Amino acid sequence: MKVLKFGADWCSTCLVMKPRWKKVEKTHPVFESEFFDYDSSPEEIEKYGIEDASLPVFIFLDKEGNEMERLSGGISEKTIVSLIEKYKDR
Amino acid sequence: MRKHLVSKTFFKLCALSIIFLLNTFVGSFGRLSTAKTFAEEKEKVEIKVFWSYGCTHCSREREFLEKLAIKSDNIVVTEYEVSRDMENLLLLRDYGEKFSTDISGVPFTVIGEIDYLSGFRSDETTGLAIVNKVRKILGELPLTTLDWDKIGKTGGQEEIDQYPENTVEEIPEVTQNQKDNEWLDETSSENAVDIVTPLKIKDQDNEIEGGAPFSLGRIDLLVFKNVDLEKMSLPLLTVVLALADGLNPCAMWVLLFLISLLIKVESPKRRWLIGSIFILASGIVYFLFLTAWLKFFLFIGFIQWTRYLIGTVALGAAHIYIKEFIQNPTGCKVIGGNENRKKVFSKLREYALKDNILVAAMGMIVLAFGVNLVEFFCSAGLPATYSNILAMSNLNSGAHYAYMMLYIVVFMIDDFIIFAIAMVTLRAVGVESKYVRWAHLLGGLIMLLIGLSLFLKPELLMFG
Repeated sequence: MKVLKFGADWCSTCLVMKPRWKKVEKTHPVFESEFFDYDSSPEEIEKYGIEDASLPVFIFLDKEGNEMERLSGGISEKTIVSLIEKYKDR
Repeated sequence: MRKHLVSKTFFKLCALSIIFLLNTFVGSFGRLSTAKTFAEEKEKVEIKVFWSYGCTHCSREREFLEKLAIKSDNIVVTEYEVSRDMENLLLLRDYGEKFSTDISGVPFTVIGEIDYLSGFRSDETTGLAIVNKVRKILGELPLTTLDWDKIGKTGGQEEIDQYPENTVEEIPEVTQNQKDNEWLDETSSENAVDIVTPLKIKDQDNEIEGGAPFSLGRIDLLVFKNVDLEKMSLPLLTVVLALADGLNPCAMWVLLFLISLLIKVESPKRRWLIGSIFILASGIVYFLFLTAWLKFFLFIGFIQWTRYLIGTVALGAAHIYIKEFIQNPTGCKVIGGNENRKKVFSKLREYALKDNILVAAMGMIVLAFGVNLVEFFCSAGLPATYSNILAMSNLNSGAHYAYMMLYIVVFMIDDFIIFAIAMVTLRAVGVESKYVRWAHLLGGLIMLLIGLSLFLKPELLMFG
């Protein structure tokens, strides 16, 4: 499983989510993640249709790169953990 | 015979005494009563009062002047309504130019074409000031507040008739009266009201303690004892609106980007300096916006359609805020358009990281002004509505600026906190969306009430 994270330096919620993800990544080292800055990753933004989305956006991909789940905005640590538990083997 | 002579002499003395007393009575009465003085005086003094619908202070002054005109044949009161009559408004502007004064609201009173007063606090303060300005034009000594307490408050003829008994005691006060007259000579018309104001504040306090009908009462608020809730309503409204406005994303995205740049800067001094300059400059720009709105509303705010327009803006802002609370979008909308945003960020990066600290500081100031101008319409609703409330309230210009300062401080406080945390921890932090959400609900509800009040009961928003 892989998580794509889209955010921006000017987005307050993205800043709130950063340490939350950091903590979960430490406690659940079962997935890899990649961060894309909204302003410096135009290709990825277009590829995943993030142009008009509400940031941050988190996309959960399976081993084949298929999208399993997409979340937007501020997410609780509990929700993140439950999704990781749900998709960790895919 | 002797007895007859004694009685005759006694009778003569009595008659003389009565004549003397009557003379004293008429003289003193002339000095102290507004009624007889004006009735007997040589000329008529015209009082022009500029007023507007929904203005409670205007209503108080008009009631006062109506009573005064009934009592005094030498006073002619002419009323000019300015919210529905453009000619009257233009006349008011002419008087503003004539007296070289800021026609910063109604009521505005022109006395005998040579003097004026802005606002109306109470019969005992502004009312007395008006009477004394008329007396000055008529060449009369002014009334003291003591005189006014005795005859001015009720204004009843019966009270005035009883007054001569007291005048004997008051004769030594003539020197004091002359002293009182000096302030009319030495101060401007605007200051005249200010000088009387403290007396009114004292009176008002007494009224509140005595249980005045419109008093909201007093409470102990943490360390602040005996807080007058009525006087707290405008400060509280200021804090709530400024807080909701400060959490507006339009106000924060540039700062957050700047912080992301600054935390990579090695020198702590430079980090603090550049960021502080940007925040301070942003605050100054916002203060200028508020001032511009206020001046605009003070100038044309008496017009009814302006009130309806701002009411519509307030209801629109309420709709947006409450909708955001209900829909609960916890993320950040992409703001400013990609090209504009990139342009702003590239300039920020260019100047914030400049080696020359002066150039960097100047760059921050220019960018703060530029960004706030670009975002003007994004965040115009709240400050425009708030400025309109200030313009409608009976506040002097010092109070206007004090309230705007309070608004700016609260508006900027979240920016300062976020900046300070980032500079200390070297980690950019944001505001939890749940706090933003609740601030939006609060702001939305307040804006809804303000919008409805502007349409239905504007006097609720006239503080002071």
